[in-house]
Amino acid sequence: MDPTPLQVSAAQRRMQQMMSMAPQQCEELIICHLSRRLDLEDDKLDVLLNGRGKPGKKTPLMRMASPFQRKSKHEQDKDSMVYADNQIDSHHVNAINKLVLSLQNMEDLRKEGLFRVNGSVTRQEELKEKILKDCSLDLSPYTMHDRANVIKQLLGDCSSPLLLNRHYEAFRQALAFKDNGLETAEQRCLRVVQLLMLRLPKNNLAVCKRLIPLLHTVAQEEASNRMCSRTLGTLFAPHFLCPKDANTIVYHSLLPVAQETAAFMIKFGAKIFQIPAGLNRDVMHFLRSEKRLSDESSGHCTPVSTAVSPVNTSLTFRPRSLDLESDNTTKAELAKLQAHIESLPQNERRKWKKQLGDASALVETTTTPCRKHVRSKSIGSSIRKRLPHFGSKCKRQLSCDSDSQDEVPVTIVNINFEDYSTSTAAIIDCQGRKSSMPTGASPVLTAAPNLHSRRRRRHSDGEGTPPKVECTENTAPSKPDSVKPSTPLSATSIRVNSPHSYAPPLKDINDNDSPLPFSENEISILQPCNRPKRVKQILTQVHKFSPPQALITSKGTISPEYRRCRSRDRCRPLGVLHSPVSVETSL
Amino acid sequence: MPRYEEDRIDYLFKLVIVGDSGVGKTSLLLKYVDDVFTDTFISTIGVDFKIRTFDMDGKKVKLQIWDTAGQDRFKNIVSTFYRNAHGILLVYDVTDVTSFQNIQQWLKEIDKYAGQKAKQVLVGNKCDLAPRRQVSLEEGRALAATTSMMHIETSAKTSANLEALFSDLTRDLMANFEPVNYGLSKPDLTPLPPSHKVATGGRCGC
Repeated sequence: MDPTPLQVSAAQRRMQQMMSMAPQQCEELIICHLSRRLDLEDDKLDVLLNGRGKPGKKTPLMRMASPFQRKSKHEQDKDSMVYADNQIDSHHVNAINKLVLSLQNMEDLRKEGLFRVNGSVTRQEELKEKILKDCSLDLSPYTMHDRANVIKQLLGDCSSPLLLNRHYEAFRQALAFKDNGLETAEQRCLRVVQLLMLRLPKNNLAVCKRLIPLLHTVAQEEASNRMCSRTLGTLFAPHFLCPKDANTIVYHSLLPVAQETAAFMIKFGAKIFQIPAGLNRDVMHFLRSEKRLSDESSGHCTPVSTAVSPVNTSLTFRPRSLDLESDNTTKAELAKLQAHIESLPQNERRKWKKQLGDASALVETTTTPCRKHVRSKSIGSSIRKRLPHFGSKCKRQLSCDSDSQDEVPVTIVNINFEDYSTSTAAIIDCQGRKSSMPTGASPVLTAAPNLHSRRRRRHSDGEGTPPKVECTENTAPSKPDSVKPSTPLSATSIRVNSPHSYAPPLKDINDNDSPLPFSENEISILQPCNRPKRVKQILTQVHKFSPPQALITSKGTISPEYRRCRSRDRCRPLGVLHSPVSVETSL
Repeated sequence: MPRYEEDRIDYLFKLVIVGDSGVGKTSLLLKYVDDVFTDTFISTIGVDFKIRTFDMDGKKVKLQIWDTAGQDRFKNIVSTFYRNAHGILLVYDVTDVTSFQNIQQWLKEIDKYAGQKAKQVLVGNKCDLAPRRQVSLEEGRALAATTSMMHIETSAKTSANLEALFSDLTRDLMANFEPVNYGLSKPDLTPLPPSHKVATGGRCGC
C-alpha cells in the first residue's frame, strides 16, 4: 500500500524521455492533442496555454466578477492578464506529501468522515505551522482528521488553485462531453484530463500524483467511511479549480464545474496520469525516429537538431460538420441567404454584401470564387466598370508587388475520411501556382509553396515513411517593416502520405487501453494565418461551410486569428483527390 | 382580501446554522422543515436556505433558516451571512468532542461578523447516539452559561427536541424584536377619498 515509488508505466517513461529530449516538441504534441479534443476557438487557446487572452477581451470568469462595470483602457489592459497562475511552492509540496504519506494506514482511511470532519482547529494550526518549517516532524500526536484537514488548508493557502485557473474552460468542456459513438463521455473526458495533467507545472503535478490516488482509495472505502468521490469532490473543489479571491457570486457559479472535476479525478484515481493512446503513439514514433537519426549520424545526435526539427503526429483533425448537426442548419440558412441575395438587383446586392461582412464573403466565393478584392467596392471598381482595360492591368501589377513583399501563402491540406473508406483531399495554393500533385496509385500530397521556406523536411518522400501527416516548420524571414501585425513569422507546410505504405507497429503502443482506429481520421490542417478569413473562405468551399476545427501555426498552436484578413484572394482549389484510405487496424 | 390574509405574516426571522462540518446542520434543517431524515453524507456547498411558516401564540411567524457549509474553505462566504441574522444556532456533535471544542472558534467568528443583537443557541446534535457520547449535557450547559446562550440537545434522526428548539428560540426572538409590517403582507386597499380626483385627459403641467 506504500506508494512511495510511484509506479511509472512504459508510456509514462517514454513521455518523460521525450520531455527531457525535446521539451518544446513535447509541449507541441500535447497541445495538438488537446486542441483536437476541445473546442478552443477565439482566444481560449491562448488562455489555456499561458493564462491570458487577448487584451481588452474578458474571459467568462472575469465577466462574472464585474458584470456591469465599465473599465478604463488601462484597466482593460490589465484584464488581459487574467490568470496569474502560480506553481505551488516546494515547502507546501513537501508538507502535503508528508501528510499524504502519513495517511496510508487503512484503519485511518476507513474512519467515517475523513477529510470532512473538522478535527481540532487549534491542533491543526499548530501542525500546519510546524510542518511548513520542519518536514521531519513527528505526526503521531495528531489525529487523521487533523492531518487530513491540514492537507486541505495547505492547498487553500496557495495563491492559485491546484489545477490552475486557466484550465477551467478545458475542464468545463471536458465534463460536458457526450458519447460520440466511438468513446463514451467518460473516456473522452478522461483523455482530456490526462492531457491537462501533462500541462500542469511540476509541483502541482507532484501534489496531484500523491493526493489523487489517496483520495481514490478513500472513495473506494465508501462503505466504511461514507466518503464517496462526489463528497470528496465537494470538499476539494475550492482548492482544485476555484480562483482564490473570488466573491460569493463567482464562487457559486464556478463551484459546480470544480466539484465535478474533482469528483471525476478522484473517481478515476491514478488513471488520470496515464498517457493517452494517441499521444503515446506520437511519442513512440518520435523516439524511434530520434533513434534512427542518431544511428544514421553515428552518434552525432545533437540536442540542437531535435530542438528545431518538426514534430510529427498521427493526429488528424476532422471538420466540425461531422460533429455538429447544427452546421446543417447553418448551411441551409446560408443557402437561403445566398438565394435571396442572388435574386436582388445588382446595387441592392452589393449593399447587402457590405452589411453582411463575413457572410457575404461566403456567398461571394460560392458564386465567383476567383474574383479579387472581395470586399472592395471602391473607386477601382467604378474605374474598371468604365475603363475595363485599364482596370485589369493595373490590378495585376499591384497584387504582384504586394505578393512579393509581405505575403505568406496559404496552404491547406484537407483530408476528409467521411465514411472511413474513401478520402477526399484537396490542395489549395494561395499563390495560384500548381502544387505538386500526386501521381500513381500511392498518392503523396505535397503542398509546400512557401517562398520563404528555409528548412528542409527531414523525412524523404517515398515508401515506408512512417508518419501519415508531417508538419514541417518553416521560418519566414521576419520583416520589421511588415504592416500586418498578424503575419506569423513562420509557417508550416504539411505533407500527407498515403497510409498504404505505412503500417505502424501497434503492438506495444497501448498501455492504457485499446486503440481506437477511427477516432482520428479526418485531417484538416491549415496554415499561415496572415490571411485568415481567406482561409476560412476556402475552407467553407472545401468543407461545405464548416469552419475548421483548428488552424495550426508554426508553433503547433492553433491560431485563433483567422478573422482579420484584408488581402485579395487568389486562391483556388487545384484539385480534389479521391483515394481509398486504409486505417491501421492491424499490424 | 383573503388571499392577502394568507400571506400576511407578523414576524420574519432570519436564522443561521453554523458549526463544524459533519455535525448535522443540514440534517437538522431538513428534518425540521421537510420532516425528512437521510443518512447520506453530502457536504453543503456554500450556503443554502429553507423557509418555514407557522403560528406561534396567535402570530404568524416566518423563519428563514440559512444552512451553511462547515468547511473552512467556505468560511469567507459564510461570514457574510451572519449579518442581519436574528438568531444563530451553534451546532456541535455530542459524539465528537472536537466539534464541541471548536465552538469557541465559531463564537469568535460570530463576534467578528454578526450583530450584537443576534440571539445565540448552543445545540448539541445526535443525542440519540447515547453509547458514543463524548460531550455530556452538563458540559454543554456549562459552556452555554459562560456566554449566556440557550442550550439544548437535539436529534435530527429522532427529531427529539427539534420543535422545542425552534419554538423556544422563536418565542425569545418575538420578545426581543418588533413585528414586521411590510407592504406585501398587508396591501392598503382602502378606496381613495372622493375628493381626490385623478386628472384624466388633461395635459400635464410641464
